[in-house]
Amino acid sequence: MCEVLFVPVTRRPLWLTFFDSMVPAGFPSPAEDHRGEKLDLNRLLLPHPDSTYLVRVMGDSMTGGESGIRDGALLAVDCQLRALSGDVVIAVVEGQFTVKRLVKRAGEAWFLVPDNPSYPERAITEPDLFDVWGVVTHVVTEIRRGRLSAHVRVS
Amino acid sequence: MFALVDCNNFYVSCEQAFQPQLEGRPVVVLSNNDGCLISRSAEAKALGLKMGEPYFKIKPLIQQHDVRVFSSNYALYGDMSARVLHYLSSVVPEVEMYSIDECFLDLHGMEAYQGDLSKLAQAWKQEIKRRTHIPVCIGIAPTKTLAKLANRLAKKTPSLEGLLYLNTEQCRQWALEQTPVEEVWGIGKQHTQKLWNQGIITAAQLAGQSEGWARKQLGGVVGARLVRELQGTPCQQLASSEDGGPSRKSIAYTRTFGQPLSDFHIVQAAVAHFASKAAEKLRRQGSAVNMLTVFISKSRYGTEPPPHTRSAVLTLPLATSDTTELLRHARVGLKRIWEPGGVYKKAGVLLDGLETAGQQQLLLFEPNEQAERRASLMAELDKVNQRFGKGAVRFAAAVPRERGPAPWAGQHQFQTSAYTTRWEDLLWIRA
Repeated sequence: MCEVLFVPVTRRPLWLTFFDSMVPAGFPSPAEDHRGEKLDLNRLLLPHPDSTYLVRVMGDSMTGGESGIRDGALLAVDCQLRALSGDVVIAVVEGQFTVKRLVKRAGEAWFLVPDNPSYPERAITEPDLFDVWGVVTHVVTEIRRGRLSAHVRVS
Repeated sequence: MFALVDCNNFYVSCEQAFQPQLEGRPVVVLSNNDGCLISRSAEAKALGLKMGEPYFKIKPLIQQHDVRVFSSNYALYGDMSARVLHYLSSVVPEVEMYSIDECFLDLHGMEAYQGDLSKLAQAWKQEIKRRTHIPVCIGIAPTKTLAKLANRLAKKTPSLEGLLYLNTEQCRQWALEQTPVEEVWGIGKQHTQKLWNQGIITAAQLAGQSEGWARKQLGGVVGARLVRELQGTPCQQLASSEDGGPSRKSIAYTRTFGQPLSDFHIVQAAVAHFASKAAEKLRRQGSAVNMLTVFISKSRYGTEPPPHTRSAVLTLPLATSDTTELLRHARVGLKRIWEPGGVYKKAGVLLDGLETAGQQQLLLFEPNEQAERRASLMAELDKVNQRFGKGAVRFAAAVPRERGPAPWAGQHQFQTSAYTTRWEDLLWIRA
């Protein structure tokens, strides 16, 4: 199973320079004349600041699948989106948070499905005890250990 | 038309938003220093827990019913409040943030373009719930006073499902009859007794009075406006500022100590700490101040005779936002009111007479160059603290001599994490 923990959303833009022209190697850079707009990662990851929360995942029930959610991943969760079948969601099951893929199968049967096949899936049999808290829109993981790792449990 | 949007049991709802296992349980939030109840879930209200009750008094009841208790977590509440406000400002032309959990909306002209206001408000309610997981009630009416009244009824009457639109004359009349006169916005304790003496016990009876009567009985033009607002004529507009927040007229930083203090140096450090905090607030909003008040209070429940609070008001020669200056004046003020041998429970610093920084009246002989250097020093200080965390760099005067937590620091035994505003302060939620 997974554990989820919450971290803050700051809206200070992070500006990266975007070069919109190819820069040939070994040649004086003509990029000075072609400086493009600055890219704001927040605009990409957090388009709705008032409904987006950052959460962190603990556990490996979502590893191995196409979502790419590893132990320690940082997730952007947008609560204004309506969850569709196939979305990865932060669900509340009997008062507890969990992160799983929400899947609709034949008829009206809904399931919470882990990406990691070694974990069991769970049918939503009692809708009263189930709620979608938010829809996961982005996954941030770290390839080389950096600041993100400082807030992640090292297992 | 105006609307008042009010978050239900706001502090408790913020805690529940991040701890869904608390849903449907008795939950309470305590004031600063874990003193009194300041927010209760519906289940806690049903147990008979009252607003403002001291925590020590209700402890047995809390243990008996397994009530979940939290210290106030203003970092979280502030962020959630801003989210609600941010959403509302995106759907209506004008918003006035009235308190941390209440906003007035100006809906003027919206009906013509957007259709039925109650349908709109219903949608806002749902959106806020979805985005922030905080339930709200909405009252809509032709005046702010009536919107406030409608909101109160929406909250109290379950069948209304958190929404009341006073769009007809009958509806307004019904709402006024349901409301005790002391619950009307702007009617204080003093006026309540006066009104009762004259047999006026409902808002409807008050609305039935003439303007002249109100002018005479309820404090002049304010009273007249109040009655006219109840009658459905708007006399108050939104007091909104550019960022949606109210612009402050004064800044206060007051705290009850975690333990009674009688050492001058410790109290002085506490006052210095409060003054530095107030100065930070001051600079954040780009103001300077020309009046400073320091006060210290003894316990009201102790054996000492009143007055329990002594204060000193200082007029500053030049409006400033410089912590050094404010610390100097705060110390002068404290020395003036300090009585050796006293046991103090509380202290505070109030900054009054706000001016826009950089536009204050200048002294004839003030060396300006130095003032500029000081201003940039303060700016650097704020930057450092913003980057490395609150209090990373402090004035020595505001640091306690002993190591460990400040002796004046309040208690917050049951504080949850600042889930939305602090990287290091993380909450674990088991899946």
